[in-house]
This record gives sequence, structure tokens and C-alpha cells, in this order.
Amino acid sequence: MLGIFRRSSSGMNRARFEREVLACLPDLYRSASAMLGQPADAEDLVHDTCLKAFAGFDQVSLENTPACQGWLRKILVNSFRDRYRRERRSPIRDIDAHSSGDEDSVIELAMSLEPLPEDRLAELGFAHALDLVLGAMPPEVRTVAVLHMVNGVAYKDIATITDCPIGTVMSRIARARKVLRKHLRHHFDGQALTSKHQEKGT
Amino acid sequence: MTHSDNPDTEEDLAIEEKIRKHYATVNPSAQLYERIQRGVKSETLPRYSRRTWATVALCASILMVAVLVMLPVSKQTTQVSGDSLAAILINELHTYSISGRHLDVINSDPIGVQDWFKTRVAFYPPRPVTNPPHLTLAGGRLCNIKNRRVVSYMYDDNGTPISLYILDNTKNPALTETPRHGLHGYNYVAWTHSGLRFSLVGPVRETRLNEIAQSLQAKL
Repeated sequence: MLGIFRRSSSGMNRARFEREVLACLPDLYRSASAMLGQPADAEDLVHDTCLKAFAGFDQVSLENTPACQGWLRKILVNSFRDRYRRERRSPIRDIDAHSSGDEDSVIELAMSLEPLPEDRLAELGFAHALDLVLGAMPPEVRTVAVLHMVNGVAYKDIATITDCPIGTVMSRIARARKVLRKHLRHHFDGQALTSKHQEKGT
Repeated sequence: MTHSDNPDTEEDLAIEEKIRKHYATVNPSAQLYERIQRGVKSETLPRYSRRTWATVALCASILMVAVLVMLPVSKQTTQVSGDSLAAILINELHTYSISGRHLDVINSDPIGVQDWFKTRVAFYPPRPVTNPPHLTLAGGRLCNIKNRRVVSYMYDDNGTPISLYILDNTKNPALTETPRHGLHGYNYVAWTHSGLRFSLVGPVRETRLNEIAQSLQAKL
């Protein structure tokens, strides 16, 4: 009897989960896609996120869609961090071999490695160039940049999602903007960037 | 903060608007919805089998600790075999089988299954062999073993799951391999080909598993 009740309750839970969480899937997938670049990796990350969300679904009270989105984004960001840490431990990859100092020095170092020659980026389409530029950012910078620039999440909410002080969020977004300006301005020929630049020069 | 670091410059706004527009066109595939729904469905299956397994595992662990304490001489042997790839893969498939977990990709088309793995592992996965004797390709699972991504092609042998695990042989010196037969009722056959290590695992008789392995090897 108890088993039947449990099964029925979990069935209702699943229906509610599918109604509320799967509605946020496009938003989650966009974040994952921008963070990881590869569609297959993005699908795996979103899949893991949704299963983790389902495991804890009956323990959270989500008042509305924005609350649900915030909760899912937090799980997504944590899953992304776990994945990145796991890959750093993996013998296949030697990601971030330089990361021995504090966070700021690591970010500065990663930003100064100049892995993306500007003339080569100019030849690529915007989407491809954007993937390369985002992929070259340190994961913590990439995370906040994606949440703000792709999903339009406010600084305050990013601070909650990433468990960072708002000042750190702002400084990371400023760093991301600097890199994006530097590498993507070729894709705005004759538009806002050039005219703004000319104004500064005169 | 310099003028160019100001977040509200026209440059930044133009770039961010373009980024947002670009990603607004990026949408998840129907396959992803189906995969998540399958995953969620398998999570809502009755849990008694998992609880039973957890109890058995707990008892086995206690028993193993007791044996290790009482027989220090045999300790080293147990640790070595526990680390062997064969034991890891057998445990992986056994855990999968009793947990009622779902496949990551359900497809009997070998090209579709191969394509799914192509962008998910660091090596080129061979196309799954179809029509080994009385065996059907059910799909695949992406496994994570010792922080490495491993391909698992799942076959169905009259309702019995058989897994062909494939991992890059050249980058995996840490994994030792000790043939294991009969663990949890599973058997294990392994071979290497073109720099890849193939491990066939299933709860079937050794002769049957060897027959399947020979058929797979001949067609790879």
C-alpha cells in the first residue's frame, strides 16, 4: 500500500518536474552551450544538471519560474565546476598547468597567454570566434560572463548563484568584457565599435 | 577602473547584444528532452532493488574488512585485484543492471550510436558491430572510469545486457588488468586493437561471451 502511494507520489513529482523544470531547459542549454562550446558536452552537462535537480526537487520550494531558474543555474554552475575539476585531475588533459597561485594571478596569466591571434579570429565567423574567445577564458570568468551576457542574469543574482561577493562578479565581468572587446571588434566593421573608437581617437 | 572598463560603453553593449542574439537561436534538441525524461523516469522506479543492493554491498564491505583484519597476508592480493580494470568494469555493469538506470543513447543504428560518441570521447570510437550471433545493439552509455571517459556499447542478448567497453589503451598505463571470471555471475573477455582496449562484460557463460567476443573481433 505504502509502495503504491510512494510510486503515485513520485509519478506526480515527475509530472511537476517535467512541467516546471523542462520549461527552463532552453535557458539552461544556452548557458551550457556558451560555457562548453561543444553541443555534445552541453547536452551532457544539462542532462546531469536535470537529474541532480530531480533528486532534490521535493526538498525545495520554488515559488515561481525565476526562482526555479535560479536554482537550476546554481546546480548547472556547480556541475560545470565539478566537471572542470574532474578534467583537471584526468591524465588525458593538462588544463591549467600554470594554476599554482591565487585566483587573480591565475586569471591574469590565462588572459595574458594570448592563445587567440586577432588576425585569425577576424577571418572566422562571429559564432566560431565567440566560441574560441569564451573557451579561452578561465572557467570562473567564463561562468559569470555567460550568466550575464547570454542569460541576462543580474550581478546580484550571479553572486548568489556562484557564491561569490558581488565585487568579484563585477571584476570578472569587466575582465571578460576587456577580452571580448579586444578579440571580437573585427566583427563589427563600420558599426558601433569602429565609430566609438574613432570618437576616442579624435 | 579606466573608461574602457566601464561596463556601459557602447562597445560592450553592442557586443553583448550580438552575443545574446546569437545564443537566442541556440536550442536544445528533442533527443535531449527525451534523454532527460528517460533519466527522470528511471529515477522514479521502485527503489527496493537499490536498497537490497546497498544492504548486500554493506554486508560485503563489513565481511571484507573483517577478512582483511584477520588475514593480513591476503590484504595485498585483494587490493590489487580490486584495482583491476576487469573488476571495475564488472562492478560498473552490475551496478548499472540493478539500478535500472537508462541508456544515454537508445539507437539500434550503429552509425547513430557511433556519431553520438564521436564528440564525447578523446579517441575515435569504432562503429558498433551489428549482428553478432543472436545479439541486438540497444544503444550506448558514456561511463566515467578513473576520471576517464569510456564508451560502453550496450547489446541485448535475449534480455541480458552485455556491454562492450572501449577505452584508449595508449593513455591508460595506470589501469592493470587481471582477468576475472564469475564475479557477481559476470564474465569478462578483453583484447586490444588499433590502440584501443576492448572489454566485453556480461552475465553470461564464459563460452557464450567468448563466442560473442570472437564475432566482434572478426568484424572490427
